[in-house]
Amino acid sequence: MKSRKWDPLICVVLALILLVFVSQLKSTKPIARIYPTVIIICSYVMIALTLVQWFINWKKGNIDMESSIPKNRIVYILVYCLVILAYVLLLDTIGYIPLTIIFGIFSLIYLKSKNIVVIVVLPIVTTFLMYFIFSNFLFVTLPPGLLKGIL
Amino acid sequence: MSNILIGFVNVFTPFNILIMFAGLLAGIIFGALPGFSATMGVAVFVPFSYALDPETALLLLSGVYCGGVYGGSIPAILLGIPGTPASAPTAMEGRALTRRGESGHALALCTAASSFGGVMSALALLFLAPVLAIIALRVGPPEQIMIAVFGLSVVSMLSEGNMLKGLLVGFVSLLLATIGQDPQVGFPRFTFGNLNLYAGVSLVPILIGIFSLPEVFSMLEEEGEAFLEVASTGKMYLKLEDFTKNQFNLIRSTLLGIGIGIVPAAGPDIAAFLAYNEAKKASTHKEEFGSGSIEGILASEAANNAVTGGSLIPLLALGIPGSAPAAIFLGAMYIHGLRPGSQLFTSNADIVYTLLVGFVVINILMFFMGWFFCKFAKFVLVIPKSILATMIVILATVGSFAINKSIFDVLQMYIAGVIGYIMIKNDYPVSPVALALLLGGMLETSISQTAVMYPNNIFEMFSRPYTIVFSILVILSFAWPFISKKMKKTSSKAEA
Repeated sequence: MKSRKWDPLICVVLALILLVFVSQLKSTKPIARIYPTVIIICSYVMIALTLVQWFINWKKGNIDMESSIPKNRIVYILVYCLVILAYVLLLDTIGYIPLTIIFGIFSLIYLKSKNIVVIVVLPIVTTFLMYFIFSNFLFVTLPPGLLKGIL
Repeated sequence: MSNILIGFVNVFTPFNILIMFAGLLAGIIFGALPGFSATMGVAVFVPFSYALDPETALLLLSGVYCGGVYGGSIPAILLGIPGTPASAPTAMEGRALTRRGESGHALALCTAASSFGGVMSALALLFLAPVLAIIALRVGPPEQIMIAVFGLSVVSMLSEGNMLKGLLVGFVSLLLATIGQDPQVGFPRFTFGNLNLYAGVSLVPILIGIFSLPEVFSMLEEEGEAFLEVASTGKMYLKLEDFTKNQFNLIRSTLLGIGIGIVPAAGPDIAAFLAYNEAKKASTHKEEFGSGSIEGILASEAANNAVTGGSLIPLLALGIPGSAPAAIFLGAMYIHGLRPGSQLFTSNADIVYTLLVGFVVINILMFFMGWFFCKFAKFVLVIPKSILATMIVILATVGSFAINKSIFDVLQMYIAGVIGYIMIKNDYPVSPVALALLLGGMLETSISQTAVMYPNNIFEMFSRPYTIVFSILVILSFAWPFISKKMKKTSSKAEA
């Protein structure tokens, strides 16, 4: 059974999340409380067993202490992660077309694409192509944002 | 028989044929790109299926699924890097053949074996799923409890070397499935005052996130744009003797693939390795394995593609997905208002038989599409990761939004993607998340219905024969890791 360096931290975070669910149990109807209570108990048991397993492996020196993400890439990945989050959160306000073009250009530059034509043309073509497909074939109106009234 | 004929009529409309080709092409591209998978392809294409008729939508996803499993073998041969884990045995043999200048032969073999395995599994699906659906007629709430527990237990147990982590993920995901209105009194539960959560967590966006974004983040782990050296496809050809000498190998591997496909969560990678090992054991030319064995390629490819049809058998009949793509498939069925089980084969017979017949046709078309694609594979395999990552993020975002036209869904997709990446990096399996979210609701509803059926003692449900059968399966699935460990020890002792 494999154990990893961050398993205890993951278990603690999960235990805290479960605690939030426990605090919400009181506000549910008693009849609808039984099933989630059982699931929460089972989850805690699994957390305890995972921690015991980690401890046994730690005693044996069987913990994979190496980070599975290369250290010099963590910040790089984190920044990209935050950029996606910003893209998601601003989608409604700025709108699909302008934001996706900006995101596409940024993403290609950030991921070290070297071809200028690709960096400029690809996001524009993809954005409009997707907009065309979703609006005309899938009948989904993507967020207009700043272009409300124009589109 | 009349249902099968209806299926034929529905499949052979120009639009459906076009959709099957489009799905296959998209699936092959997803499978062929190293790091991408059939699961990711199906996840990304669910939103595109939303506006289509249910049967057309299922044909599109079937095309992506089958194409994705097959596509993984193309980089395995041309680059020596398996596009999907299921193509790892093919990579061992295919790369050796490529070095000898026989890449065209290797690709042709792999295309033919994949198509053969796929067609056979599609036929098994066509004839076995309705039979299993008859059993599903006798399935009541008590049996449904055991089916759900069985599905979840197998997924967790098969989390190779991480049984505890698999179970932990399963239970926490079951808890997430309880968010929303409870099935008994319809009172909101764990919604934290957020109206968006009243209908529960959004299944498909979460599946899109958990199966696509982690791949994007994984791509960022390597520095710079790595341009891979792709071997030339060469002349594609098949020899009759490749098949006359390997007929038993092909049949055995296909049957193994179908069997593995039926077992929940035992996906194409397990089937490919198992069939490859069996082929090696049975071969009279064991020394060729690892240095370009045709038997190895045929076994691995027939088996991994045979999983596709096999995995849909328990899905359509009982609602248990046999693999991760099948789990997303189930999510898509829910979106289209289709519920697996016996009723699917009666009230939605036209849709389900279109899918079953379409699955056979897709696997036949795969041979031609695969043959055609291999000639141009060199150009697809060199698409830089910067373009792939950007496209996937945009597709996942827009796709998640399209389902309910909700930014909250996109946010759920994003959170699921980040959590999925952390899980994968720490050896927590992600498949139980899909299964638990899909089966959680059914499990809770069945438990409450069973409690009403047996108000004095719920354990009376074990007096029902089918409950006992499914209970035995649950016990077996829990015991399997220990049995397999014991078997491995015994066989290694015997070899020593």
